[in-house]
Amino acid sequence: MTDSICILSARELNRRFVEGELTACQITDAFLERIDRLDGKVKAFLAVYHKRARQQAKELDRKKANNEKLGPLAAIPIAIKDNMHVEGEITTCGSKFLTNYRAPFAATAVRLLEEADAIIIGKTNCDEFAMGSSNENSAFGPVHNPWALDCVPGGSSGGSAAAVAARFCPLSLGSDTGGSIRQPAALCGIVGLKPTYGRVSRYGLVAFGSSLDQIGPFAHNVEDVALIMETIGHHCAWDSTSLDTPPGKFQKALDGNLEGLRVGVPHSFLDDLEGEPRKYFEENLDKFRELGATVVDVDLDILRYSIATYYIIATAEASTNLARFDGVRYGVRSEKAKTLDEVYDLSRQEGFGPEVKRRIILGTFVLSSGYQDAYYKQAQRVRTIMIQKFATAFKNCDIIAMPSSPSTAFKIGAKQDPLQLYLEDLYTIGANCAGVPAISVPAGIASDGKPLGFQLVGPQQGDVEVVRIAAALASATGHTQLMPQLEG
Amino acid sequence: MAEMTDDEIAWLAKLCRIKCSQERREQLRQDLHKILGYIEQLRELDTTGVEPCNHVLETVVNVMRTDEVGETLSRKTFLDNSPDQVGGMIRVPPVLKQKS
Repeated sequence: MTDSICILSARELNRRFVEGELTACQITDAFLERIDRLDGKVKAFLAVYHKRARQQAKELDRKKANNEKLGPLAAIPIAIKDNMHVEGEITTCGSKFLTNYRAPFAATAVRLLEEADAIIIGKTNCDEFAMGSSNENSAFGPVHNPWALDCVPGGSSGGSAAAVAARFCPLSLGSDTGGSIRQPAALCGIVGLKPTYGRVSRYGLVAFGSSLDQIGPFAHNVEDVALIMETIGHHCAWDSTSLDTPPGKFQKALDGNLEGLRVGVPHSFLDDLEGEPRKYFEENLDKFRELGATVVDVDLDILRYSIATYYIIATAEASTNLARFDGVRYGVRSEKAKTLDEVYDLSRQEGFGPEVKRRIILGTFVLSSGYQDAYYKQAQRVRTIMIQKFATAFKNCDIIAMPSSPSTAFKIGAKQDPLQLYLEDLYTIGANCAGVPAISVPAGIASDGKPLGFQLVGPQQGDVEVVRIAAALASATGHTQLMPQLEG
Repeated sequence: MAEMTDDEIAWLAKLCRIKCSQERREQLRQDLHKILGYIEQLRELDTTGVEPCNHVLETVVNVMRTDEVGETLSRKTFLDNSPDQVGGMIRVPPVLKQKS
């Protein structure tokens, strides 16, 4: 009974609740039971809100019994990446520094979910301060890919991706600064969307790279992404970069029609793609052609420089954003500190993991006097070129297709070299630099039994179209029906 | 570019307030050398006449509001997360080293 509820889509769960076939308590209990039974293998969660979620469910059942108005996400359990605030609960950001930090306010995205009557089921594990591509940088241990438990789920939103893949919840929120939603979505065989920069409020998301960060949903089908985007895509007065336009009619747009669609492929940039990633990429392009689309070439060679550009800009912004973790006002203060300087130096030494320290130092370097022009300003100029190249490409096509990641999930511990891990984001980083919306949908299962992802990138503010096209493709390929077997 | 020296790493660590052991600094020096070596490729690009990116979307506008006090965090709520407090204020060790 439990698992037959857990494999349902978010929309179906909501429908069964609204029509009285299932109570919110039954739904919540089913997912909590599955998490308790199986998350020991996956370790997707850092906190499971047994009490809080059951209270929300009871309240919803009461509302329903009294015929009160129900929000569009009523009774849907949703997990939140642990770098976003749920009021009154701990936000660790996957770091030792914040093991005791209790959020005094809710992130706007979380508040909007709760106002829509969703049930917040818990906080998921992530790379520390969202820095990583494998979820191996969490201070609380790695997350295990539900498709292959000795492999990484991707990162930095590894926990949120694994939770949906394992059917611990039908929806979750992640954050994407350089690919941290799309790459784990690909490695976990699910759908993950990074909206246009500014589409979803960053208020209550602990900042990493403020000009790149964006909150977005994970789901095991594209229609559920359309549903949740209508709730979280609202303007927010607390985020000065929040778009002042309505979220968009995502669900109404889902017409499944791809006739005449022009799909742009940056063939030259994808020159090195080979083996099974190439095979599955081409298969998905063929599916587009079957559905009446044409494939055209676009020039995005500039993306060869995207990793270098990103690791200058993101680390520079991170060095500034993480300066607030000084042991003074919140977080774990070093017990050894005898002077104020030691409060800063020792709290940060003890609280931050090696990858965070590496990126802060790199960011400090590229912003330092004498180097700022050569590195930081140059990276910002290259970023301008990237924005222009994407805009030019969209003059000749409606959507751009790329792989989501260069390979399937690798074994935990296999990649020790930081630079090797940075290269995992080769196909995803460009969209963050250009502020454009991008989604990863499952591309198929490779011969090693692990998923690959197919990425669709749209023009700025083209989120509704990106989701519409992704839904049509996913419907035709059927890859979103596949799920990992966790039992036995 | 020339290899970074231990002094340069120590200087950066001081700027960003992260205490690093000698061993840690050496590891950072090697990591940074590799990463900066990769990043150097950006210098190949001719960016004459290109403006540095100010904001990723052209549609952004300045969103100043009138200076009116609205919802604020209460002092108590704020202090709930502080490591050490006294008399409604955050307490820190002395700014200057005490003469013992």
